[in-house]
Amino acid sequence: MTYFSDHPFHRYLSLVENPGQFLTFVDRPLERFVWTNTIKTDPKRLFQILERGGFAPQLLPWHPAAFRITGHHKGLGSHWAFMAGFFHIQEASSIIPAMLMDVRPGMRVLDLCAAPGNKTAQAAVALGNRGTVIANDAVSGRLSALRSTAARLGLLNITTVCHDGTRFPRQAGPFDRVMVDAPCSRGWFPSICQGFGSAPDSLDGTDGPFTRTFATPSGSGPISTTPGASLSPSLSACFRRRRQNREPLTAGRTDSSRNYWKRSVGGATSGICGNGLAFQNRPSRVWTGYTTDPDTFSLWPTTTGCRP
Amino acid sequence: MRRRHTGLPLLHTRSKVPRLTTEGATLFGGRATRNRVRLTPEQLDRYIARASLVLTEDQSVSLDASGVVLVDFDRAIVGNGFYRAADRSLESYFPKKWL
Repeated sequence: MTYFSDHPFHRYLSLVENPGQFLTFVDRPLERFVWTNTIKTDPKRLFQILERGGFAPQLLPWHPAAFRITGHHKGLGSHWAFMAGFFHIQEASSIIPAMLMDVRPGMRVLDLCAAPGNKTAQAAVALGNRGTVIANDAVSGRLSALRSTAARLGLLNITTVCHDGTRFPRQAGPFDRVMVDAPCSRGWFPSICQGFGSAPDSLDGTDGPFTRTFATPSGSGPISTTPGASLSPSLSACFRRRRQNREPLTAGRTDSSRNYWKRSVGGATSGICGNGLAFQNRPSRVWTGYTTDPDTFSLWPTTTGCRP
Repeated sequence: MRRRHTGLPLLHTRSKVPRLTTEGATLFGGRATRNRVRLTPEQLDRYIARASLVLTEDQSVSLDASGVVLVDFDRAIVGNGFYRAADRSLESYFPKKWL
């Protein structure tokens, strides 16, 4: 462990079973991933545009409108289709949380730690430019990046607000979905959770899954591993039902994100869910002063998109 | 709540004549049938770099007169610009902050 102590990600080593494998992975250059802005175009057309540009896109097996860039990625961020808001560049593991929120048009969504706004944009697109996304961040200066993204993608349904996430005003009213992607790398995550713990009614009336995610360290996720090969939890999505007496989220639903719940609520501790995401139940752990829930699941995308 | 911003600006109202912002143009301009100019890949590069360019006669034939036109590439509106009929030039209005 001493050997790794200088590594920027050494604080995560207590979470992984194979530190050497984890560090080897995070030291590799990042791959590029993009998702389609379905408000302006469709995945088929974007695929053709990217292919013509020599980016060699490959549809992700676990997302209907996101691509892995397997060719060169020089000029991807200055390509005309990017400028026209046809797609957005986002790391694969960061695409998962908003996808799992299962946002549908007309919903009211709160992104509590929104900046720089990639997941906010993803949720806003999923709403189909209807409904509302309240994008909050504690630091107002960080919201400018979100505004630029929204402008390029043509997102009309985002309202930005600036509040301390641990004291979000109850006047904001109820939300259908709440996403908290707290910057845990700065030790914020525990305080956010404690904030909700001490003021459980701060989002009173919220009727939906309360989604927490650990921030992805520098966007590096174990995205190229085969199932079971690497279990580093660089993205761990934690889910909790808001009210214990409510029906499980899986009831009567058949879409892929719900399949994940079916498997996990059904008692499975690890496997591949319907949309090709691998999951593993992690025992309760203490990390940066915060004890994770025993029902915490680590999620990571697979390259093969194995289906059960 | 301390609201910072809601939605997007779609129209410049302080210019001499109201005109669509680039956000508005890319969202709603696709339905336009007039005052829409289709660029070549080379022209598009210049447009995105905010450089002015000269349109061909074919490109300018469907434009009514000098004024703001929508810029089309590959059947998608990428923004707008100011067309001057006298010299068939197009001034790019592509936003600096998007570069």
